Amino acid sequence: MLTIKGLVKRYGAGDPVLKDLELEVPGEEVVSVIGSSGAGKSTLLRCINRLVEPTSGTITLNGTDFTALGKRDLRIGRRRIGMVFQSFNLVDRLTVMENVQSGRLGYISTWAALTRRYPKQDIQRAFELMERVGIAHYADKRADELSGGERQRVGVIRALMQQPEILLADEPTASLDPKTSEQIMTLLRDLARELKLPVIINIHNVNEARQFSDRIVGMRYGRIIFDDLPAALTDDAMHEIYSGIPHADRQVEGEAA
Amino acid sequence: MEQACLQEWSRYTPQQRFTRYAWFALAALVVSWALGSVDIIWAWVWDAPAQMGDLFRRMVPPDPTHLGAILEALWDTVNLATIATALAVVLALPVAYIAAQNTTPNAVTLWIGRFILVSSRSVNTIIWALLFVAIFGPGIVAGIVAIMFRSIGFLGKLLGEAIEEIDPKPVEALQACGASHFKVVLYAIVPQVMPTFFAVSILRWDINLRESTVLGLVGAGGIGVILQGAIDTFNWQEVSMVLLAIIALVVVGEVVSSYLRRRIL
Repeated sequence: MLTIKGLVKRYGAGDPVLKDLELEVPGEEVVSVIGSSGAGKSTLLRCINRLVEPTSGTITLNGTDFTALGKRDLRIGRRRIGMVFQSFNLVDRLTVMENVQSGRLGYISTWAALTRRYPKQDIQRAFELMERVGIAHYADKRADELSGGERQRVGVIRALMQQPEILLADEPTASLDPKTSEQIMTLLRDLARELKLPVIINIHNVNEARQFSDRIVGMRYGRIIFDDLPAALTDDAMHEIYSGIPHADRQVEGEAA
Repeated sequence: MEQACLQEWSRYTPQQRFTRYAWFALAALVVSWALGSVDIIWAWVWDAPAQMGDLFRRMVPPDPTHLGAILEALWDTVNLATIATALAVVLALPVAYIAAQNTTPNAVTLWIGRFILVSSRSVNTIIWALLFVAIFGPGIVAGIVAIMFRSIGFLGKLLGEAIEEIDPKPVEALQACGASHFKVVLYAIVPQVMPTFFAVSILRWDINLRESTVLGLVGAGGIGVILQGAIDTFNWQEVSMVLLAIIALVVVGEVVSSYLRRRIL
């Protein structure tokens, strides 16, 4: 279970990006986080594994307070959190297998990493997962030879190789065409069920959020203003999440774009 | 239409034109002052074409009697350049790592890295060779160390820049996996700078091959020693033989390095 309490993230002196945010993700459910650009979705996700350092608040995953971890413990802690990225973030010049095995880098010895002598059970698991998503025959191909959908599958498998306790997906389908995007969402939902894994997905496509998640969280200006079942996401709620952006915030957004 | 033809246009205003002429005059002044202040013996300058023709006649035909020794020195030169490049590549890696802004551990190491690069690059190979001939005595070791010192700066600078230009996204992804710093370097940074690493190393080997031919002039080994000896004894036919050999070597080096570039990249 992931529990976030009083999370604040402030860059410099300005208005905080996340304002006293509370969120609880129990057990094995798929949670979609929606909201306009700049609402703080990505910052929220990155605070969980501390790719972004939270300003204050606590983030607890199955009893471990991540905000209190030192450098070394944080590395060990990060093995328990898988992350999938919008632009896949693969190492293009490495093979698919090397990319998949890099999910195990937190576990294996430096020598094994250097010589690419991965443990047998890791290779076994990699092939099983790659088989499951249909990329096993690409094992020896270079990552940049694959199409977008295939590359994101590699990204998902890399995260799953960590045997994580939670999966974070930061707009995993935003760089993909609609059909591929749907396949990846289906995959995330099905894998979450098979592996009994809670998943938090930042997503722009509200229809996909409705279709694939058990719960939808709506963010606006660093706060959670909607948190309910997909069926409860009415037009009014949508309006509140996405429209009526005040003048000041709109300007900030324009600069960011 | 008539009106348009009558419109006046000029690229510069009178003021701008005056400023430009003033700069031209100043430049002419500087050049004439520079020419006046160096001691040129004009008689020797006008004499040069005749001297050139004379020297050329003395050089022809090249004298192959010492070809065996020349080829041996040439082989020494190749070895000198290759060994020095290999050592420099190994030593340049940590320097590049600490001289790149995104991998250096802290501000002090960044400063040290840049200092090494600048000091290595600002001293010419020949001057390094003079220093190391004084330290190691004349011979091939001084040559190797001299070439190595100059190459570290070159390789370190270009590799450091390659490290600074990598895509940071895979780095972030591997950090999120819980990989240690060293493993992130190994998996996310090394693969990205690999092509530059090979390209720059081959280029430097090519440059070193040419540089090492002159090292003998200051006693640091290689073909230059024979060249210096031949010049000192006015053995111009042997000089031309050595020059031909050097040209052949450089051409071969060029062919080899472009072949390697094609194969590896």
